[in-house]
Amino acid sequence: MPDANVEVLRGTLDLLILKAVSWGPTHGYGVARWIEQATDDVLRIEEGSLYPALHRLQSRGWIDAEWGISDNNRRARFYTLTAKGRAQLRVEAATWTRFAYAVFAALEAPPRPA
Amino acid sequence: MNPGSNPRRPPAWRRYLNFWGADIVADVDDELRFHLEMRAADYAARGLSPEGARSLAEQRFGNIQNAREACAQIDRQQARAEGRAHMLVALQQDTAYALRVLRRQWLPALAAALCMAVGVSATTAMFSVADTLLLRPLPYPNGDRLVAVSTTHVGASSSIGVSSYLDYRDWRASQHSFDDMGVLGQTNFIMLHGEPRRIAASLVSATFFPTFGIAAELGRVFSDADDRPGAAPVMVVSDAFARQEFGEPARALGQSILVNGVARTIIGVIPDRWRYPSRGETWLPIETGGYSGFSNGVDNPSSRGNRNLQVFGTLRRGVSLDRARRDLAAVAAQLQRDWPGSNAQMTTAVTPMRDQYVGDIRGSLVAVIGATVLVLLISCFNVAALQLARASARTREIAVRTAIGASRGRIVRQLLTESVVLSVGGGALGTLLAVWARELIRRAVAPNTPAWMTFDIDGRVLLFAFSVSMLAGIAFGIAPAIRLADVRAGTALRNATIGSARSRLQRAFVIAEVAISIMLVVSASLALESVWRIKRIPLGIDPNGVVTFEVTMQSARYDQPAARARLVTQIEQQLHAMPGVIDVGAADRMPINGCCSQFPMVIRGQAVSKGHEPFVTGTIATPGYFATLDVHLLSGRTFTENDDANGQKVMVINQTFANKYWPNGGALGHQVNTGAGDATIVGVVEDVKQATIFGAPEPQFFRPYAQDPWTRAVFAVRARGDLAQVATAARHVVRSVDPTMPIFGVETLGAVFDEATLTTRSLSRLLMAFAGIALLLAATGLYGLISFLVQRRTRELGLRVALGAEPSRVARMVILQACALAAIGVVVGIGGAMVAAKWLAATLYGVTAHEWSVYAGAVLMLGAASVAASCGPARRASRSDPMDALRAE
Repeated sequence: MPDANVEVLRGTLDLLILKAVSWGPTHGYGVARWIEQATDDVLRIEEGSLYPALHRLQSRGWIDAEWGISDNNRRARFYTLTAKGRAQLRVEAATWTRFAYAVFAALEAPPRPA
Repeated sequence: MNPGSNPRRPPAWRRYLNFWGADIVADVDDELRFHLEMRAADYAARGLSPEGARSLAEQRFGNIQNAREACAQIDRQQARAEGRAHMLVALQQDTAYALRVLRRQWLPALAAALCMAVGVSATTAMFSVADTLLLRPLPYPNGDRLVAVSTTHVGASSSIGVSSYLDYRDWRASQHSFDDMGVLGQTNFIMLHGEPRRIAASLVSATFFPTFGIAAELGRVFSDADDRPGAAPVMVVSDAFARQEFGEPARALGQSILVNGVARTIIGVIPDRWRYPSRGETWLPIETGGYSGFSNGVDNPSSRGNRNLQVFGTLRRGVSLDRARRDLAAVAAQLQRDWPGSNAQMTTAVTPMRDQYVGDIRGSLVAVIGATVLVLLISCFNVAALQLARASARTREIAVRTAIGASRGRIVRQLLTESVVLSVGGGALGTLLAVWARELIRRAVAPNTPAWMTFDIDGRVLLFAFSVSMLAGIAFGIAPAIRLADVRAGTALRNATIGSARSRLQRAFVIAEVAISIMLVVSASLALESVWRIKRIPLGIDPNGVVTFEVTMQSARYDQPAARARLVTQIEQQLHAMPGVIDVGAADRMPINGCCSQFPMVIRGQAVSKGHEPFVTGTIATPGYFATLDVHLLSGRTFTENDDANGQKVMVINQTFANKYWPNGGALGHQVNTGAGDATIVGVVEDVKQATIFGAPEPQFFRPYAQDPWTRAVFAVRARGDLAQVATAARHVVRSVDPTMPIFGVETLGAVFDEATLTTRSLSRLLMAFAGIALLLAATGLYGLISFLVQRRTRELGLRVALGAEPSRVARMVILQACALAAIGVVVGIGGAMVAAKWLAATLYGVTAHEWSVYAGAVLMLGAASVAASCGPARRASRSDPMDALRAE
């Protein structure tokens, strides 16, 4: 695996999935592709954990799954964000942003006064 | 599967499992495979070889197997959780929808529910009755080990039910199988505690209460010392009796009351639930109680023939019924050798106490269980046929639902829900009906049950009813549902009929209905035939129009035999003077169920060694007895007023007696001694059914009441008009003759006869009701089917009529088609009917499994029902108009 790829934390993966699905019904591969593209391939998620995460989110009722037909006429499982999932996405995004800002602010902070 | 290998494509059929929930693993595999193939396609688009692209995609994915298992596990957990919630919601939806559909088509729905109600009520009632009869424990502490022991003729199928005191004593002394044995004789005594009253009294041995495990709630039960000749007279009473006579049980203890003129001290009160017999009031020690069987002394060998006591035993723990039977049979065999006169051909029968209560119900129980199951089956077939019949109406609806995406499984489930809703609804109604049907069934199975055996509709019975309706709904709903769901969207929307598959199934249902009907009709006819044959049994008497009642002369006034003879004559004369009375007579017991005093007999001139005298049934009768009961005289004469204490001792014998000892005739004039000196045979009469109406007649003699006046007399009054009024008038007559003398046992001989035939009549009535229901259901099923077939052939029939076919020929064709279907059903069912008949014949009197007239009658009846059922459709068919047919297309 290239060095640039960051191990995505589980909580982060959930957040990214919710975001990916928020654009409209997407299958698992679409989610993976979207994350790769949206992060310029920096966050290359581990696909082995993507699917359990999708199923876990579905069982929590944050996303819905339905079999449908993909662009290339293949039978695929499509995920959509539920209302509950959308609310969760808002909360988690806010939390993550606060967290990121906090870490960022810490990194930018002046050295500790002596 | 190895990690990294491609998830295999599942076989196509597995998709069908998705009707009952998704196939989780297959879905996960599909999803992962899709991902890998997409990724591989991307790599391939960038110029990789297909193999390289695929292996890179798998590498990129990581551990496929782990992901696959993790997903499947999450999905399974979710499916379980959802499944529960989902099922409830779906069930709710399905039920709501089913109710809507059923309300829209309420008439067929109601018909189906009623059908189901009939079937469920029959089975539920049957379950309730069988449950109580077979499973409810006896109320006595030793109930599970309690058996009844009785005397029986060697080789006889049923026991005579009673035994003698001396036999009991010998059995008890020689057996090794029982903790103890007890004896009981039921009688009625006159009690003076205020007004003279007749009370139910049981004469028991001191061992009786311990045998049952009965303890006194107050005071004590008998000790051995109480049950000895000369012991102080004591008695035990029931709680109910104590309350009635003394206000409360505690006050009864130590009280002394006059029973048959003897002052008896109450030493104990027993709880009402432990009463045996179940309506018993008082219990007296047999050896001080004035038992009539001891008239010649307790130890006199002639008492061995006085068989009118019930014997009970408590099986020793670990001793089987069979071992007890063998044990007692060995004792009985010894008694046969020791006392050939009274005990030749006599052995013992040991039956569980439960059978004592419910009688030998196995035969009728099997018959009724079989019949109820058949009724349930036929109603289920009918419901299934009705469901199919609704097919035409539903075809479009289902086609539309299929077209807008309802899966076949979804539709089957919906239809199944409808049929279950129907059958559970019908079942609820059936449970209500069961309350009433239960009584009908109980009477057919076991007409004489004790009071403590109540037949409740309890939780178990409700559960049974619910399960039966549920199962029936599913079992008989599934085939029509699948058939209906198979509707092809295209054909149905074009409104073409889906005829042939449906009609094949419906045909099968109707044939099954006819087959079941023939079984029930044959069974009912057989039972009815048996009732008729019982009614034609020659009784030797005419029981109709005869009232009987009993008096006992036990006070000091009647110590002298002459006083008793005088009283009986006096009552007879006054009864005769009543308006409407034709004849009056009296005897020590009346025919039909007047069992049995037996006496050792010696015929003068025929040498018999002492102790080897044969025992014969004897009756003491007044001159009026023969005319009143219409006993036919064959030769000689019956009794006159001159055959009194001063006259020559005379005797009348029955035909069997005469034929047995004087096969060549010439019985008249012979001298016979039955323990009261030689008596001359002066007449021979036709056999009278004395102990029971079934069974072969036995030798019987009659002696004049005036020459041997017993303390007990049963009067018979033959009268015109209202017998109830005659009974009331008779009561006044007796009171005017002796105000202290109660009369009891007032009944009509006709009622006694009816009682004896009760089981068979109830069984036949029940089977007839069932057969009627079955016929009706089969006829409606046939009607529905033929209507459908005619409707399907509207065009063809219309054309035939248009082309000049006689309408009557068309009608005949339709009727013949119905009869042909019924004929198949008859052929299918006749085998079952013969099996049923074989079972029934073993239970019923006087019929065999090969009563061809019964089968012929049943076939005719089914034929008539088929013609009746197809008349309407046939008429419609004969009026077919080709224009209608063409317009309908």
